[in-house]
Amino acid sequence: MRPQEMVERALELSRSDDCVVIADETSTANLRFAGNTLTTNGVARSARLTVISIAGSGVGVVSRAAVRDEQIADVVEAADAAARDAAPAEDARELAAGDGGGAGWDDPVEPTTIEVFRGFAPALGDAFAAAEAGGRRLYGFAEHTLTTTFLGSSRGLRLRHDQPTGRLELNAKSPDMTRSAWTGVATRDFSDVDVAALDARLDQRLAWAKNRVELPAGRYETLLPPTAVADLLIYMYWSAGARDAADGRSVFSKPGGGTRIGESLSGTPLRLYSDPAAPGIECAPFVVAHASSREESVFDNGLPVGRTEWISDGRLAALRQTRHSAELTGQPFTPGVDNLVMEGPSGGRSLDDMIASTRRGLLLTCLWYIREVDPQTLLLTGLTRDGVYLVEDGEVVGEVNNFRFNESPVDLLGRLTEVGGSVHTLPREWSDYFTRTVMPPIRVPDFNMSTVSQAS
Amino acid sequence: MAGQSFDIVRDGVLVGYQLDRRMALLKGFGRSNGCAFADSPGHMPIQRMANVSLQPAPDGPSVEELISGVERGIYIMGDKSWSIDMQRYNFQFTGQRFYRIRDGRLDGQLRDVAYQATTTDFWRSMEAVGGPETYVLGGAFNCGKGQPGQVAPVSHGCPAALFRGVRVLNTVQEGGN
Repeated sequence: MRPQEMVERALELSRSDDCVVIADETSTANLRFAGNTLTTNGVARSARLTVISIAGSGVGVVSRAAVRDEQIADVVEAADAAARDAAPAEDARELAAGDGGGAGWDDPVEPTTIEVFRGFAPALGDAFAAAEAGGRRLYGFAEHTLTTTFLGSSRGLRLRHDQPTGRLELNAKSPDMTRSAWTGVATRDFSDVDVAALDARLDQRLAWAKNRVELPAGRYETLLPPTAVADLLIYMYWSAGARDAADGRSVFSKPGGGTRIGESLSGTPLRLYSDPAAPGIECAPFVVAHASSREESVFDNGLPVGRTEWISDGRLAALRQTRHSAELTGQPFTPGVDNLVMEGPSGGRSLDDMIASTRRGLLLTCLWYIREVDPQTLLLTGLTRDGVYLVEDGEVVGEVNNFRFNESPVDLLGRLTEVGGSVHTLPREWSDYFTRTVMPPIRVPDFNMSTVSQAS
Repeated sequence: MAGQSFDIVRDGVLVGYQLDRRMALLKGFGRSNGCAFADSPGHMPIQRMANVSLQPAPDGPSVEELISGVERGIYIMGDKSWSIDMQRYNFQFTGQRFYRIRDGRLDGQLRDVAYQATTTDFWRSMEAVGGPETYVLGGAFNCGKGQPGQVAPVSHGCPAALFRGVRVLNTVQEGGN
């Protein structure tokens, strides 16, 4: 049975007052490589059926993988039973209404295949040859995933979204394995990945690392590249639920009650926003919620998602809302969106130009193992990885030891002294979960390197 | 590969590794001890941590007896934030509750505590291990490894233990406030 037919069948079988059914079909292809040679490749497909039954204001959700045709009734019965047994859901709201088959609803699912690497794989082979000749070794992983989501409801919704997600992570190491550099890119189809350019950048960084400089822990002027900014701001975005803020649980809670919406977070007129139509990072233009949480509600499924400014001119403008939390906070309904863009004032410089104008500071490659230390300040800890470089008088003069940092992205927005030009980037730490970002490099005058890490 | 019980550290000495069959063969360790699994049928098994625990001392002290041997220190209950570098040297953890120890007794609750160390230095600083009644089985449901990412539960048992000279941070000061 096709996923569209599974949705229709599940809706027919449900005996609840209302029902929402989500069928996700996912295909993935990957290449792995090490020491300048391909090591493994793979393709896989998976499917998940989620039935959300609503009885009065009670809701029951059952989500199962690889459901066969004859098992649909079991899933629906389980969801209906759970809804009957459920206590009233505080987020219960009228479901969105639709009028049947939306764009592409009946079209077949077109899975990704290993063919997605048709142009990329030969270029990668050329990069292996160049790396071998240049005395460096390339390691990494390329993955392309295509998820097609069908969302139907007893109120006539029939919505479809095809989401391609691709990423390349590329490491270069010196033959003695003492020097390492990293880069990564997010892509929708690998046609825009310039492996030779990425390899050239890694070659430059390995050359920088030939001179080793040991520095102690402390606060340093630091240039954070777009990937590091993305990792810090994604965590901030995940922590920007209006409900938590209203309940006094987050960095966006106002002392004494309420949220910090309207408050200035940065003296720099920067903007943080999401937009399902943003070029190159397009994502679902409607809510897809497989389960309710403090940041999303199954009752909001299918509602349109549009461009949302979270920070405007340095001011907190919105938090992630369900309709329920929007009522509680008296704010507009601004559901989460699966991409994130930060922009500073127009005319922001490139990272290379920012390096050239640095008298003395650190240049990071990326961040690693980021974890929350304190939700009230959003203090995060984590580590530098694959290259920290010392910049003096506009030139990189050597590679520095790694550090553990302790910083809050909200504080950083208030302390940064420069925002460069925004570019598409792959957040290294969170790339399993969030890849669609456009971020600038930033300059922080006093980034807190809390301690030295011996990791190299 | 059948699971089995094996020592990584015995009497304070490193005596073993987590192994899959490939690494056992490559490094001359004889046979695998079964430390490889996949999180679903859709993924390849990868070498990863099995359930790793610190054994209690058979006749070891109670928590109160451990505290009684501390003139000035902190009693940490539970775990919270955890982060460690890619070669597992530098870590920083927090906890769920913290109490000040003065002259062998608890003396009020503390806040804004984190602790940092290098792994091997930290374990070398362990002075005492509690008895069986202090042993707790904990763990996590979301241990992430590999590319493509695999997420699996892990269990870790541990008695109360006393460490000397660990670097403690004030997280408010770390945040520059």
